[in-house]
Amino acid sequence: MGKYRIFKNREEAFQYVIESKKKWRMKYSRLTIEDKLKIVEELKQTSQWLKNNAKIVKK
Amino acid sequence: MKQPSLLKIFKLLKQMEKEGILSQWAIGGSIGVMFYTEPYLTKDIDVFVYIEPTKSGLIDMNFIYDWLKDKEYGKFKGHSIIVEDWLVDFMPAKEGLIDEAVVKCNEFEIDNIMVNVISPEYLIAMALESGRRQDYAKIEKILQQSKINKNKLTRILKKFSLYKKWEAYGQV
Repeated sequence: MGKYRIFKNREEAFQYVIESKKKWRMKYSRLTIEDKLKIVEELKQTSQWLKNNAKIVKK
Repeated sequence: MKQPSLLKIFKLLKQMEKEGILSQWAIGGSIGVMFYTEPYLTKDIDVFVYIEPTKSGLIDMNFIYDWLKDKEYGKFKGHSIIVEDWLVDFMPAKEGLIDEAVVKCNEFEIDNIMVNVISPEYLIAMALESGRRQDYAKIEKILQQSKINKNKLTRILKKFSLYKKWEAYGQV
């Protein structure tokens, strides 16, 4: 990896990552309906898994 | 049920914690919200991490990416890393609200793994602070689908000067 992930402060680091996210995040509008349905189905299963298995132990 | 790919990411985070790469961290963003609500259309995972400044006060994130590269998690897109077709983002917790949200996160146990997740009250405050359209959608979802400690939320909003924005949003 390059050594460019050094920032003046936490605010600058945060903003840099936010900008990177905007650039690289999935462009949902470009997905086909089939791809979207596949993601939705996977997320439904993940959500169900969280509901069934995730227990809050410390608040 | 087949174990979801998300579990591999939780295991990765725990390994990073065990090896001292992550100290204070918590999941936020849409996946964080999903711990308290119905699912979201997302393939991003935001992991908020506290990064100790260097002696000269700089924030050096290279150690995270170097560690990931050494462990052969080498597929990067910008600052994101791809794990099991999820885009994982390590977000440096900036001072103030996010910092406190990470420190005061909830802890979940899932398949014998402890996972830190930002509490719904802090998720609301963070969404309000960001103030994008999708953030307000998150707020609505949390309010409708999870139990909120209203006193705690009010305290957070007042502490971080977000209460007027909350009033303007019509929640008071």
